[in-house]
Order: sequence, then structure tokens, then C-alpha cells
Amino acid sequence: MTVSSPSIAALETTDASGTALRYELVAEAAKMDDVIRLAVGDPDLPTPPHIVEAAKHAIDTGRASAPCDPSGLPELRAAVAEKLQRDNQVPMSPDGVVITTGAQAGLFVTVQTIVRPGDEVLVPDPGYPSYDTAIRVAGGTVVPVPTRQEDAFELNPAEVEARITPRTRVLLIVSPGNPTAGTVSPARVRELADLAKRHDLLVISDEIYEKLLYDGTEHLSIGSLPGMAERTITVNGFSKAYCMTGWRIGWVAGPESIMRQVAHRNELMAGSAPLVSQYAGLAALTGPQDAVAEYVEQYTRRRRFVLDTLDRLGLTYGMPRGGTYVFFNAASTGISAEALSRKLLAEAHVLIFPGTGFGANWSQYMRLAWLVPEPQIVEAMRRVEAVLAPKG
Amino acid sequence: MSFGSPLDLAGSTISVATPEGVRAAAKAALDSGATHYTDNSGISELREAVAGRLARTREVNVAADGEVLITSGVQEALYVALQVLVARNAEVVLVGPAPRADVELVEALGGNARVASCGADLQLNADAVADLITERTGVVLIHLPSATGQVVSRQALEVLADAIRKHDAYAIAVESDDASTALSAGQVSLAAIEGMRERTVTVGSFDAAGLDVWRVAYLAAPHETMRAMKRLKEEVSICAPAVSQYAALAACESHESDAREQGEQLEERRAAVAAALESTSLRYVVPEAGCFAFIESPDGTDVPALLLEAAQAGIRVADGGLCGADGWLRLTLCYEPALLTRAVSELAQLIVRDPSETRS
Repeated sequence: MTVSSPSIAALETTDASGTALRYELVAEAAKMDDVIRLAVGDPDLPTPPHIVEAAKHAIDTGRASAPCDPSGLPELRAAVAEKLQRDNQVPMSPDGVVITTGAQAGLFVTVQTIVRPGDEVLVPDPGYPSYDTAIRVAGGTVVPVPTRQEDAFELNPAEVEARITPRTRVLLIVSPGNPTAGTVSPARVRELADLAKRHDLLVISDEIYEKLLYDGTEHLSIGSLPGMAERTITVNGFSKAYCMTGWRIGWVAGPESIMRQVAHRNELMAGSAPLVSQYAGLAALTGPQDAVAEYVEQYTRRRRFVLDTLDRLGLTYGMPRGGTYVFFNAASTGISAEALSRKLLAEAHVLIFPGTGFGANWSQYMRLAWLVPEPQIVEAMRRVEAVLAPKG
Repeated sequence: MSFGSPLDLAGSTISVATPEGVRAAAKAALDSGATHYTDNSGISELREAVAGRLARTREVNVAADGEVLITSGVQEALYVALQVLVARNAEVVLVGPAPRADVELVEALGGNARVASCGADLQLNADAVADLITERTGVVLIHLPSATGQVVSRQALEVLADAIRKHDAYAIAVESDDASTALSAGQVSLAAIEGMRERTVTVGSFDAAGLDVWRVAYLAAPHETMRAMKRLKEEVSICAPAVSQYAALAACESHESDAREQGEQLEERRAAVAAALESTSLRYVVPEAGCFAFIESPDGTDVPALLLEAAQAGIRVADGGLCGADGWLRLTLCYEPALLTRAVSELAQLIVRDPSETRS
């Protein structure tokens, strides 16, 4: 028997080689000793203790096992709505919020709800491959909008507008981005908002890295701008800001008319988010926020060390203004990013992913994640420098 | 009539207390730092435990590596299986009684849902289902036990299997592993039927340990199909919740005793409801598995109005159509026998009134 669904074709054509390569490299690294992994986007830092305690309390009291509204705990939806209004100036009611099994699941189900077969979706390039998959599974067409290293991979409204056709339905904005860590400045967010209104586009705004900003970078939620609340779906969660990747909890929020459909689709495709994680998320939003600032402080130091090393090696990059990665150009090494990735793994025992998995044009780039403790960052970059620095 | 506070017999499941050992394992996992992504397929210990349990209790042999995938709940598992197997406009035969949500999901994915009606007493009619399976059928979706809680016999499954194999279709079997099934109900897995392993995707859960809302379940399927499902699942939600996976692992270890204890409890409740209904003139079904009982609405009954009237009288019950039992009321066995007996008796009085009487 062979499976025959077109969604399989969609999966297979969605940068299969890039994904397969990443798996291969991870498997290779697993066989080796003393590998420092600067690859996967999973923070090494712990979930704050008060969040863990809230989850344990929910387990002990039985709340973690009680039936739940498929859209999420009312108090968590209310907390998300309050956070959006307070932190992002996005007008929101709890009825516009759906709690999902991770932000990625929220984005996936949102795309399945609002993208119809034949719709075009504008997506920053390079980008996180899961966006492409979601769009293709829905029957939509991915329209990559190139970003450039010299612009720090910031999304350019002119490039967006040049690609709008009568079939364009959705604009996806990711700020800070993955793999580029590029951000969209408030001025450009406003331009994108105007563009979305002019062309009657829906906007999905992935803000999962919003708390992780450097060098005074400002984050402006597009849903806060006049005329945008009714056409923007904001995707966010807890994985990156609160180091909660394994809890699988996130949310999507937008106009109630759309969110009712998203909620229904989420109920069909996933059911409610894990309840134990919902209580953890509630504690994250309503409890002390000190840990987030501490994480940013640590990331800032690690980022500086990484960038200094890249500078010494003459490896250029788009300035990472947010998030947990740097997307650097390996062209000056004279070998492809894939070859460099294999070389660094074999000779330095350092795993860094090649950019192949993030778009067809990025085979010269690599994505480095600073998600290991600082001493390991220091050691990893020392090893990388030892392999790449000119000899003699 | 007064129960003090309203009784809610309309839930889609019974609330099962998560055993102490499972809760302790979950907390220990959190204390040990189980807050990061796991392997996309799920932690290896859990996949091995699932493979072991399937072999031991269901006669289904799958490899933990490559043929078992831990998902973020049953609904995600079902979605992933359908999305992988159902091409646009492909025909999907849903074996009745078929939950409305299943029909909706198939249609949302572009499939053409054909529901095979069940028999008069909500029993599966294997020959009628087999007749519905043709060369146009891509997938057959079945719940085992049925969505209403009836155990489907090996004989009936063999009839279906013949039709599925004959027309080279695929099968998705949602195999409840909750307490109400237990091991004593004797439900056979579809993948255990000869010739079905290679064309069956099994969806399973850990509900006997009250882990329904922890969002952890599994898919078991042949390697090639699993490869595609794993790829999709990664894109949907990366991995199942880490803490839930460790809870499920502990649940695997205590499954038999948890299921037995809760199965005994449900048996008492089934007996109480059946006894209460036996003394009425109403037609009813109390399935041997599952957590529901069903009362048939007399001809001419305005079911929505009846549901409203019952709710106003302090008893919430559900429309049986939610799980494919159209024309029936569904009662969830979520209270102690004495309370269920009283509720059923009061409900029966509402129903046996002249069905043509207008309900406001």
C-alpha cells in the first residue's frame, strides 16, 4: 500500500532535503563524544520554578485531569487578552483567544482555517520551514518575500507589495524571525499595515520571540495599529520567553469572527491544549517576570561572544536584533554551508545547522543558536575558530 | 424533583482521577527538567511501552522505532492519520455509529464522508458496512469499541477486513484504551485481524489513567505510513508534551490495575442504569463498554426541546447524535449508582409523556 494524499506530496516537496540533512547531522552528532550543539532552537535554561510549582499544584489537586473548554481555560484566555492589551496595545477579549498545543500548532491550525486552496501567502524568506508546510497542506501557495543580509533580514514592504496578486490572501510577519533573528521596525510595521489594508489582506503575526530583543530594538505588534485588529491573528506562546518548549502550550488571538472558526477547527484537529501546561502558562503570564529579563541578559552575553568570534573570522551576518540565532554567511570559507557544517562537526565537534533547510537560496548560510550555557558557547566558538582561523 | 445541584450527564467522557503513581511520575519528571522538546516521535521508553502493550493485550506487533508515534492527544492522532491518508474528494467510509466530529473532520480535509448506519440497537451492521466499501473507498474509519461503547466482534471485523482488503483500502481504527473497555470487554484490534496489519493505522490513548486532557496518545502503523505521519506531526506540534509523556509511561505500568478498578466501577453504574430503565417502557441500550447509556427518543419527540426541559429540571443529557446515535439521548455514567438511578427515573418520566405534547 502506498499513501496517496496530496498532503504527503506537500510534505515531501517542502524542503525535504533540508530537513533530512538536519536529522542526519543530529544523528551523526549523537554518535560522537563531546559535541556542543548550537543547532536546535530549544533553550537550555530551565522553566522558572514558580511555573513548575503551579503545574505540580494542578496535578496534585486534580485540576490537570478535569474536563476543559476546547478553547482553553477561561482564566488563561483572559490572561492572554490582558497581556495583549497591556504589553502589545492590541485590543482583545478572551473570546478572541484560543489556547493551543504550542504556538506552532496554533499557527498550523490557523493556516488550515483561513487559507483556501489556491490562496497565496506571502512569507519572509529565509523562513521557518513549518510555515511553508502548513500553507501547502492547506492547499495554498507560498510566495517567498526575499530579505537581505545587508538589511539585517528585515522585511521590506516594497518587496512585499511587488508580490501581491489577486490571489494573495495572507501576509505572514515574523518578528523577531527564525532563522534570521531579523526584526521589523515600527516604521516598517506601519507600512506593512497600510499595505495590508490597501490590499485587504489578512495578517498572521508570529511574535514568539517578542521578549528577546537586543540593542534597544523595539517591537510593535501590527494588531495594535488602527484598522488592523480586525484583520490580524497574533500567534505567540511561552516556549521561548519562559523556556517552556516541552510543555507544548501557546495561543492564537484575533477577531472573534475568525477565531470562532479557528476554535472549531482546533477542536476537530487537536482538542484542548494540555491542561497541566495551561496552568503552567497561566502562572507564566500572571506571576513574576524577573526570569525573562535574566534570560535576555544571559542571551545578550552569549550573543556578544558569538558575534565577536564571527567578526574575527570574517564571517558576515545580518545583525540579530532579536531571538536566539544568528544567520551568518559562510561564503568566505570557500565551501558550502553544508560542507562547513559537516567539517565543524567532524573536526570541532560543534553542530551548527546549514541554511539549506530555511529556503532554496540559503545554501551558503548557517544558523547558529546560542542555547547552551555560556562556558559551552565559549568553548564551542574557540573550537570553531581553531578550525576556521587562517593557519600560520 | 430536586437534586440539590444540577446533574451533568452530558459530558463526552467521565472524569477519571489520575492515579497517584502517574501523578508522582509527572511531578518527578518536572523536577528532573522534563520541560524541553523530546524526540519528535516521543520518548523511546514510552514508544517501547506502547509497543509492548499492543503486543501483550492486542496481538498487534509493531516496532517501537519507526512504527509508533506519540501524539498530542487522540484528536491530533486522528487528524494526522486522516490528513496523511485522505486525498481531496477521496471517499471515507465511517463505520456507524460515527461521531459527528469525525464526519466534520473528514469533510474539513476535503474527504467525501459516507456514514454506514448502525443497527436498530446501535450495533454495528458489518454486512451493511462491507456493502458500502467499494473501489472508490480510500479509508475506512472505525471506533473500537464503537463510539457508543459496543464491543465489535472478531467475526464482524473479519467481514469488514475482507471488504477493505478486497478494495485495497486503508483503515484507521480508533481503539479506546480507557477504563470502560478494560481487558475484560474483549475488544479485538483491527490490526490483529489477518491481512490488516499492513493497512491499518491504530489510534490509542492512556485514558484509563485519566490522561485525556494531558494530551498524549499514540499512532501505530506500518513503517511507510508512519514515516509520513511523523513528518506531519512534527510540523503540527513538534512533539507531545514532555510531562504528559512521562505520565503516560507511568500509566502503561499501572494500566491493567487502573483499568480493572475503573471497569468494576463502571459495571456497577451500568447495572444500576439498566435496572432503572428496565422498569420503564422506554427502549434503551447500555453498552458493555464505554461510559454511556442510551435512551431512544419516542417517535415524534422534539429532542432539542426535551433536552432543554430536562436541563431545566436539573438533568443535563446529550443528543446521542454527537456519537452517531441519532434519535437517542446519551447519558454519561459519571455519578454513583444511586444518583444515576434517581436521575434516570426522573428523566424517564419526562420522556414517557405524550411525545406529541408541545414542549415550550
